[in-house]
Amino acid sequence: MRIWGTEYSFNDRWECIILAAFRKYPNLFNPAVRALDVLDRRVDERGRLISRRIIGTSWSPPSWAIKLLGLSRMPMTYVSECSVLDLNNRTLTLKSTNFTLASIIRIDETLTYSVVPGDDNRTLLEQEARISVFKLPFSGSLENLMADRISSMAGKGREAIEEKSELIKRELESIGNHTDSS
Amino acid sequence: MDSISDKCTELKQAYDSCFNKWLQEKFLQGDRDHDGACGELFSKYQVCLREAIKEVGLNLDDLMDDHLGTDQEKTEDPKDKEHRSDKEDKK
Repeated sequence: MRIWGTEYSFNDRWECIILAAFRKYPNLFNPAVRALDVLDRRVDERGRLISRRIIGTSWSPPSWAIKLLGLSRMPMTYVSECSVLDLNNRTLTLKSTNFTLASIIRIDETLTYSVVPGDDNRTLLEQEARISVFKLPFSGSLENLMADRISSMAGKGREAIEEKSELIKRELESIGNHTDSS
Repeated sequence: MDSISDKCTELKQAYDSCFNKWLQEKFLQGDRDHDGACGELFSKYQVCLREAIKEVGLNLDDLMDDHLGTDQEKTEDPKDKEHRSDKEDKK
């Protein structure tokens, strides 16, 4: 298993960043994400918003791995994601795992958005991925390849969040202006 | 964002609009009534989606399986932390 992790601080309030996180897709930075559905959404007994989503991506393992495993090229790879939005602790945690090819490759990813301690105007994103490739003699190199890809995707994901966050701020400003003038 | 099935996309986007508005204007202000605000749109969307999941060949029970440990937090192996890499903190 390969474990990869990173941290990043956004210069925006947590409330704005989590709204952006829920509206992250579609975006130009992650064109592989083609479809997204909500399978379940409820507020639990602790008042937390629980969501389960399925994400369809055009991502596929490298062609040499597909050939070696005797697979046919897949039109869509599915990822299952469960998130918990906790207003009391001001955290949003999203955990995802791939659903397609789960017996060969397993990528468990966790993203947590929280307020930077002592700074209400900044939001901390902690991201971790655990990558396991099973039943293959070269699993280590494939795990490293996946980690490199996740690392590059993480940067693009943050850009997408920042773009959506700017959009939400503009929306909020226009609502504010509208309210002021009415 | 599109649904995994084209035929559900319209219902999905109608629900999404309701949800995004509810999240921003209600939930973040402390009103937790998701079903009261968007339940009807969610139900219509789910009828379409459940059918689409079958057509795509996915198993809904597997998708709903709580393998992600949301309710029961997984205990973290402290040894794993040592393997962390790529620490970055851009401010």
